[in-house]
Amino acid sequence: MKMRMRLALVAALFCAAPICAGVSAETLKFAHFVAAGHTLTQAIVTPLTQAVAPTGLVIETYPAGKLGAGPADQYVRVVQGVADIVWGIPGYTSSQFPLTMLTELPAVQPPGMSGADFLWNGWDAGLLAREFPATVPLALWTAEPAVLIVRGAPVRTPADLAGRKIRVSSAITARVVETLGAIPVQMPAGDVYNALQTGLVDGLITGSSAISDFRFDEVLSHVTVGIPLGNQAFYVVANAKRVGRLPQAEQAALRAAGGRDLSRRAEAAWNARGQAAIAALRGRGPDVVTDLTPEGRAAFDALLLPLTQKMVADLHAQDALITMRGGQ
Amino acid sequence: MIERLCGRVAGAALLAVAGLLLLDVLGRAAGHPLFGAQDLAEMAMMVIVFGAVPLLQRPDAEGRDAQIRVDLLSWIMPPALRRGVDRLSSMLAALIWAALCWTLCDAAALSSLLSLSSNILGLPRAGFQYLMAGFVALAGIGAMVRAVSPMGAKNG
Repeated sequence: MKMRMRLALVAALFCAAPICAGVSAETLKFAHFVAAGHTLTQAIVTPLTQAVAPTGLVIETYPAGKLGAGPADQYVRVVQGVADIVWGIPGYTSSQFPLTMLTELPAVQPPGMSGADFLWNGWDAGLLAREFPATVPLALWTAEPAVLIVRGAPVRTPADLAGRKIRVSSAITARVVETLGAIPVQMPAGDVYNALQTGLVDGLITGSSAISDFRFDEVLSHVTVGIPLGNQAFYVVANAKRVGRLPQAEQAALRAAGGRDLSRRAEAAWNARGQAAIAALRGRGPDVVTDLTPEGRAAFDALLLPLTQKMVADLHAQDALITMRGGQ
Repeated sequence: MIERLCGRVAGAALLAVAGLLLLDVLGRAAGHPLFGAQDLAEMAMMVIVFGAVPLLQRPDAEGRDAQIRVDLLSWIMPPALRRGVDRLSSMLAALIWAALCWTLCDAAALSSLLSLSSNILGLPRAGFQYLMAGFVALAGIGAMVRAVSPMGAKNG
């Protein structure tokens, strides 16, 4: 009888061990679609992982699309629970993010204000809640200011763009390109290198950090900086139900690790990478990077600033914009 | 009748995609690519693939559907067993189509929640997903009808 009791006790302990281990060490799956060495790791993944580690919460990273390729379906993946945390780009599903996408409009952010603050102002005011259902935003920020990459003659004024084919990825960029007198061409990001090389397109609008990511430096002729072309937005969100099921201390640590500060640091990392890419291009020769003259900038402003006003009015987002600009 | 309609819809979508790509290529050469061609091609491809799905259940002159069959062992089976296996496989097909239909409806509901639409033209994604679910449901109904309807000896 005693022997049976001992056996039963050992069996019970054996069965309970993994359950206890599971309770003490919650693990969240963080999925993204870029290589592990991308800026995202040092800007977001590592700080987030280290901040929650003391509570026992583990964040496992699944880079390079291991839980699903590409940025377009990242939000769907986190809502469906395929991943617990994802990094995504609103521009790929812009219909879901009408106010978040304001960052892509020309000159929408006040000088000196970060994209992170612009977006968190909107979140704190409750304006963006409808755009992020079923998730908890951990970071919202923007990339470095977009630049114009072209093959062929440099662009110094809007007239230099007339009739040239420019690759676009969102409806907003398409409107910008049309306004500048160029022809928008829609194509996936992965096709742009070949299209630029073969002359299928004459250029594209993107953040300067993408120049090294997609090796555009091998095929571009010139980059124009200083045109008000907006900033691409990014989000890192966690599944709200999954976060709600975490123990209180782990949940609090995760929420505290995310937010405005993490977003600002991520944006600073993106800006540094973008500036490094431009500096590397300047090192290639004096005419690779084109800096706009005040007259050139004024000519672009004259076309693009009314477009921003019109698109904000079409969205009925004037009040939201004032709030996101911090009252300015 | 319904299968024929689905086939015509899918065929029309195929022709539309071919025309669309031709126009886009010619337009690019002339400096005026078709606006939103990628959006239109993606949505039309959904209709082509899923519109053809109900055709899989359409019986041919010998009463066979268009599903791929492995008949390595059928020669040693008595006709009654072959008919039973055929009914079972049709029921399994109906179950799989039902599961796919449910998944597509779920995805469409999520697309509605997230207001997802194509990126340039703003075509609502949910509508296309419900259409795909409809095609799959038709295939499931066809499979179920086949599972319960009388079968000739040739079907086994």
